[in-house]
Amino acid sequence: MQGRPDEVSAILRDELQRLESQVEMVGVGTVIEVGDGIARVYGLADVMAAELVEFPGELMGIALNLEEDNVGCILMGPYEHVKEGDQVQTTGRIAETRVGEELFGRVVSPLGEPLDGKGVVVTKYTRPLEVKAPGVVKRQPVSEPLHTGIKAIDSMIPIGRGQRELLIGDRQTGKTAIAIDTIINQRDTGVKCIYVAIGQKSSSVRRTAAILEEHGAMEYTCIVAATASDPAAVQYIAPYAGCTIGEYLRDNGGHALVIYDDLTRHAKAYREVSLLLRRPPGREAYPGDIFNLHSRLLERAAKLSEAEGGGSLTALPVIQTEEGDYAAYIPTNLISITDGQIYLEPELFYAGVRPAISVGLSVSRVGGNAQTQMMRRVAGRLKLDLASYREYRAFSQFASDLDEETRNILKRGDRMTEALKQDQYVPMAIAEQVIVIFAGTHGCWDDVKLEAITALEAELLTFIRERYPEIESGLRQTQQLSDEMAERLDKAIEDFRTKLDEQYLEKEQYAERPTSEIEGVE
Amino acid sequence: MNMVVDTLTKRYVRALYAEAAERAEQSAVYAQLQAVAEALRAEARFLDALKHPTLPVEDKVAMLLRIAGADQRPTASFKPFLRLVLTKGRAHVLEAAADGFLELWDEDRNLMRAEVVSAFPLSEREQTELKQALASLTNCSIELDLTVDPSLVGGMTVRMGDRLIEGSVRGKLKKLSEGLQRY
Ligand SMILES: Nc1ncnc2c1ncn2[C@@H]1O[C@H](COP(=O)(O)OP(=O)(O)OP(=O)(O)O)[C@@H](O)[C@H]1O
Ligand SMILES: [Mg+2]
Repeated sequence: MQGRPDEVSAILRDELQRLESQVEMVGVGTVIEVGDGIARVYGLADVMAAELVEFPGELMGIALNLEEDNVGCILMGPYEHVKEGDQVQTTGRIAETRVGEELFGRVVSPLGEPLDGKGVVVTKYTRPLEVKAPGVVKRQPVSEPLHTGIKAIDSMIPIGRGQRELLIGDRQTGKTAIAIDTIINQRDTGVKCIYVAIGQKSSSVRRTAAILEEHGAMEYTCIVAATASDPAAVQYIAPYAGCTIGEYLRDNGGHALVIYDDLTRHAKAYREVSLLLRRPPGREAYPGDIFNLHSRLLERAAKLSEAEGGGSLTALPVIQTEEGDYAAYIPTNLISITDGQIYLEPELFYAGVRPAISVGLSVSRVGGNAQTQMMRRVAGRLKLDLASYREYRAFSQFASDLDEETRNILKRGDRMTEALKQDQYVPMAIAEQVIVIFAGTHGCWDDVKLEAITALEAELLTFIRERYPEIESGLRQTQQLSDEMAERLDKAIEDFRTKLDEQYLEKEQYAERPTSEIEGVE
Repeated sequence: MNMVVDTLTKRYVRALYAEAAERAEQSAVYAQLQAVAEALRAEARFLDALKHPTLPVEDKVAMLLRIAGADQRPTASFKPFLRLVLTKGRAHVLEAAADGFLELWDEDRNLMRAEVVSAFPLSEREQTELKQALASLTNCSIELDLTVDPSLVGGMTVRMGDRLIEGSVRGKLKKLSEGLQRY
């Protein structure tokens, strides 16, 4: 805070006054055993579950296991100096984290320590890490869109503010890429973003921060990082810290997006902590309350009612699967907790269909209500059409001669798939997406060479922007696609096509693609 | 620094204390337990010897009695206690038995031990005043254990069991800096 001198002295006076007569009685205990980021402590009168306790050297811990003759604490930092017999103190505070606007633009640890070398993070408020999620009466259904800027998602798997949508897929299938693009696309939307990195390499976290910085997204983003080299306990609390930061905005009528990247590693960290605390292991050696743990966390994402200020917290948890096994314990848990999932497929990814979204396995159970009228109008049938196209594609491998209708489905599907491909870091405004998808579904590319589509798509957008500027601005302002506007758009596309160079057009009859390129075999 | 008394040790010591209290020989038994604990602390291999499976229990008991001076001035409860502990193969409870015994004894006679750390040495009068204040706070008679630590800057801290009264200037300065960090 940049305070004026008289303010500063007033604060000082207040603080000193609070201390004047204070003699405090606190609970103390003695360290019996320490190791693996865990300490067992004897004593600690009146300690509460999840209370912060203080070890020598200003090391904080959280009392997790309250047992008959000892208290199991997780340690929140380097603990090499702690030894048997050391004194531990209760603090009377439940484990908490710093919250507030000051955190945006910063990279911090789950305890609010700076990791970006920009000096201490000073915030006015702190909040407990674990609170109860708002009840039904305080919520309202998802109603405003949260645009990712990714064509395939905003058209077919729309997300709304307050929703919980899972990003699920094998390693290296573009999960983080979707999260990062979504953050970049929140520029000028008023949605603040919190990216929680759990168990990643610190170099990856640094890279993410640099990318966000480069795209002007860091100023409205807070990165909470517990890296692979941090103790399991710190990784375990990271998502709560991120959630709490977002919740504070939500409760003040703001909008926040929190990304947990990823909860597979979080589950593993929690398993490690639990085993060290000697809690009984269950399925896949995870403690029995892992489901409850994740559902409590995700339940905190919400769209609040108008009476509560109408704020929202949207959550995009990331889950990594092994060999596409989404029926494993943690993935099925998360699928059942969230409002839908975006499923990424390695086969698509390697075939060059990026983002590698499986149309058939991805779903958004609530976001449809939040979709804009114009997008609903152009993309209404897209998902079903594409899903059935992928099935035809899989079958067409075995068929020798295909009837006219099937050929047309394949032709359109191949082109639509091409049109939905999108590079990283170039999120697209929703009005532009509408134009592009309208073009695809209205046969704009039907006789165009596949490999030319991406380039022509950009040309089409420029063409319309220059020759028919009222279309894009009209869409942007009304978010509606009226019949009249649709007609105009149709005409504009016709105009564009008449000027198309011969070289881009397919010469002979549409042929099947070589099998090597076939994707989407499910 | 007292040892942490684990649940198992507590169980054995509770039985011993009941016996000792009945015969009003707490102070003698406590001295004997302390002597044993000291010997165990001084020589790590001593415990191994007590746990040795082929050494006869009676020999071990005799050895411990001698160390505790109980061969000269025996108490009624000490010897049966040693025999029980050793036949059950629980020699390690002897390490914290003295501390556990003292806890029970203090509780019984309503005595609280206060570990006082102060920035400056306390005068006789201050000690009496502190004793009285703590006694009225806890409704117990108080035994002070005094240490001086200049790094407290001023004031004192008092630890009684699993509670700590923080009244040092160092503690206040720390609170102040935490409070100011919120701005
Ligand atoms: N739409 C895209 N277009 C081109 N390349 C992409 C796209 N999406 C992701 N990639 C690239 O694919 C690689 C993997 O992406 P990303 O790191 O997002 O995957 P991930 O599933 O998060 O991986 P991990 O399992 O390691 O966390 C990266 O090199 C990224 O640049
Ligand atoms: Mg990733």
